[in-house]
Amino acid sequence: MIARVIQRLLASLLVVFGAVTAVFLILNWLPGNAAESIAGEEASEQTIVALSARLGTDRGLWEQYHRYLAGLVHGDLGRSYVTGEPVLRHVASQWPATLQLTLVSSLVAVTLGTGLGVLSARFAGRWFDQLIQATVLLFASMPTFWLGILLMLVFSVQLGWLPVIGNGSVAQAILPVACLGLIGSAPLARLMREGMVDGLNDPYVTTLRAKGLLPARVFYVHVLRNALIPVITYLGVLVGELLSNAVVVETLFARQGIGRLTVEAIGQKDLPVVQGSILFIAVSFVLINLLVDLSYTVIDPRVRAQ
Amino acid sequence: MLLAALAVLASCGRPDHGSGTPGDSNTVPVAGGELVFAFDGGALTQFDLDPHKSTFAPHHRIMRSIFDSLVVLLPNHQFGPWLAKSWEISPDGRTYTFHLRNDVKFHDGTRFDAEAVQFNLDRIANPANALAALTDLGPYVSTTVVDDFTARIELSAPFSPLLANLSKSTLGMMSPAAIRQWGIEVGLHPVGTGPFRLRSLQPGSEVALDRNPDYHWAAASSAHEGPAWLEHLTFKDVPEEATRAAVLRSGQAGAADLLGPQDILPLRKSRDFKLIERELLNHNYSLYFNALRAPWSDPRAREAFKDSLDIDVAVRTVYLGTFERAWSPLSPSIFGYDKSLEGAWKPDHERAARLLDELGWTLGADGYRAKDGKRLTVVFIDGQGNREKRLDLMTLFRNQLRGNGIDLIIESVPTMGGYLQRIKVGNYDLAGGSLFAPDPDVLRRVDTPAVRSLAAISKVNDPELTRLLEEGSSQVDPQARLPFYRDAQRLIIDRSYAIPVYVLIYSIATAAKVEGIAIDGHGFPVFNDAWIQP
Repeated sequence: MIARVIQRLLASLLVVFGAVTAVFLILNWLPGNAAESIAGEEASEQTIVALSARLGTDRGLWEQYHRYLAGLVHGDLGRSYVTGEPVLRHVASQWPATLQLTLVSSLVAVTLGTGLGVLSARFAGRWFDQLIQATVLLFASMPTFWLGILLMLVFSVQLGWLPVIGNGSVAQAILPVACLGLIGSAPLARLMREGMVDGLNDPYVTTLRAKGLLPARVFYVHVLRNALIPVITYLGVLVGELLSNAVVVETLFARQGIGRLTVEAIGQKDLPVVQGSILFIAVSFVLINLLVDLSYTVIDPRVRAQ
Repeated sequence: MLLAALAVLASCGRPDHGSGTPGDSNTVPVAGGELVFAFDGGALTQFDLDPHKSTFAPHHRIMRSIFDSLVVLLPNHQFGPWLAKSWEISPDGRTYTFHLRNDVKFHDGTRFDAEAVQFNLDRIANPANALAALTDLGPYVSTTVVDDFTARIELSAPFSPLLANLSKSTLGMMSPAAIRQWGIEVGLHPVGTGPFRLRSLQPGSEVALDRNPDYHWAAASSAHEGPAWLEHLTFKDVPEEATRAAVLRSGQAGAADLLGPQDILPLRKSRDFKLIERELLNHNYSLYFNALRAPWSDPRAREAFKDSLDIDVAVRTVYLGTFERAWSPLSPSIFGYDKSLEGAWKPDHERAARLLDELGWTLGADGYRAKDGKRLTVVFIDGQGNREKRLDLMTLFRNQLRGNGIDLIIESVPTMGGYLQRIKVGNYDLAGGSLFAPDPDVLRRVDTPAVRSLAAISKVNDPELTRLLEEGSSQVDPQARLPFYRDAQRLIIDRSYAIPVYVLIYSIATAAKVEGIAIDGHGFPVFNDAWIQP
């Protein structure tokens, strides 16, 4: 078990290193240079040269990469090309909002998704199942953006129950979380339903029933537990998906967040900020997937036996 | 529904309180309270409130409340006192002597004086600092501290736009102590002399300001002396147009700027809200050809393109009457605007077809024109998404141009750097842009090769135009400048270097109880006189 964790952690380190390097290369490969986009359309060549020198973007690619890695090892992520602020501080100030949003939305998505999936399977083939499936299809096909505006118009403008923007209070988080959670629940509900409906036809269920177990116990304990395994695998993907959808939600609900920050920084070629953001995102993504992997050992005895 | 039927208050550009507004509302300003202002912060989440460094208009809308200028732009292109009580300009137009107020303090308690002016202007003028406001200073040489409260600016040549530029927030006065303390990070710790001072700043989300209790040096344009009425002023960055409308309608914000035309129209009729609108002094959003590249180096090709457009229809369709179409690259309220250009040019499909035939671009069976087997395409590039619905406009233009066999290709370049790079190397046919500016000298900044940057969308290189614009900026007598700018605007339109498209109207929608928000002569919001009905 411990060996497995260490092995996975080392592999994760490699993934993070790869992500940082890839971002460095891609951003440098993009046309244009940072000094130009920061200095703006009116800047003279003299200004651009002075700015490049200050930012260090006039140095060779290898030297810039080398400097970046050296800084990284010492916990120094550099300074934003735009504001001059240390990246660590800047990204760390935006990160909690996104993490909170993503995690709470995942929780909502999982609860709602598995709940709907179980209900759907329980009434498989009947009108209630069809209603749930239609609802889930609706969530799956709704653009995040559109759903967000709809929620805003109904709950803030018409009913006046919830604030539209901000990221301080619980009330301010309800609409964005609902937006991400509803959309995130759709694939989970379908996965759950399929797993349970398939599971009910498995030979082991026949055996359990023959042994005289209560149908409810068969359904809610044995079949459910087996159907959860693909759902848990999907969790890693879900978090990634919600993180990328967070860009839209953060913009729409005017929230702070790393999604907006990253997209903006890419547009400005603010390399240190992009690198810092990707680093945070990559580390969390890797950690969550690690947790997902480890949770198999709890749920699936076959993995524990390995 | 909030869409009430009666029309009550429409546009007003100047504060109107104290003058007996009809109805039961209180017209005597009440001090206190907080105004939440939802502003369009665009894609930028990093607040960099260094007025000398930033060229981003939305951030200058915040900075205008934090930083004061030496002079203020008044109606009719006059200038009034602000941090400077009075000034003299030498007959040769090369020396400006400013007599400063002696009772002004920065938010950090340090004194505003001639040394502060010198420090600010020298900071901008130093190319190593790479500050965007450098171009505003023109042929600046130095600032001399004559005495504690007298500063003399020396220029190497006459530069008539100087006063107008000094009235911009880009040349706002920052605390030298703060600049020394924070260095390159000063944009996160803005310290000025303005009516509001920074309380807190959350990147990408909000800038919270408190009233400056010591403030008693309001600009000549202000409706009252003394500290601002509002206790707190909070700018919330709400980049989504639909969300800004929602925060205003739900009451979470007292005011919001730049709503979409579809939101502005019902607000105009509503008695729960007010709309304040004012033209931004601007180089209007204009389309510029890459005049260095064939076939657009030929004025006939540019004319044919221009004649194929119906700008009236496009602007009306996209902005629903909230923006006017433009006739000149200069917005109508800028000094020197040539009103006679209005209506002077219009779409002419026959002429366009004739010109293109003459040039050898013949109409093919596919409905597009071609020459030597090559289709007549125009590659338009843009780097700012659909800002101000510009790409919607281009889509309409695309359909109009197709009627004359011209194939307009719209390319949205995802990064600003990539966009500027393409402009720089000339890998495009057409691009569009605007530039906020208080003086017709903006034309020189855009259209003369020696002044503009390589990344400027205008590639115009016309000695006659250059001469007109240089003469215009170096006349000491303002009236003497007028004929040069009239001729320059005519020339730009006649030779089809630029196709002006629309005049940007900066608008703020407020709840009915919010009073006194003004939009200054440049088109930036001023909150010094704002107050909230209890």
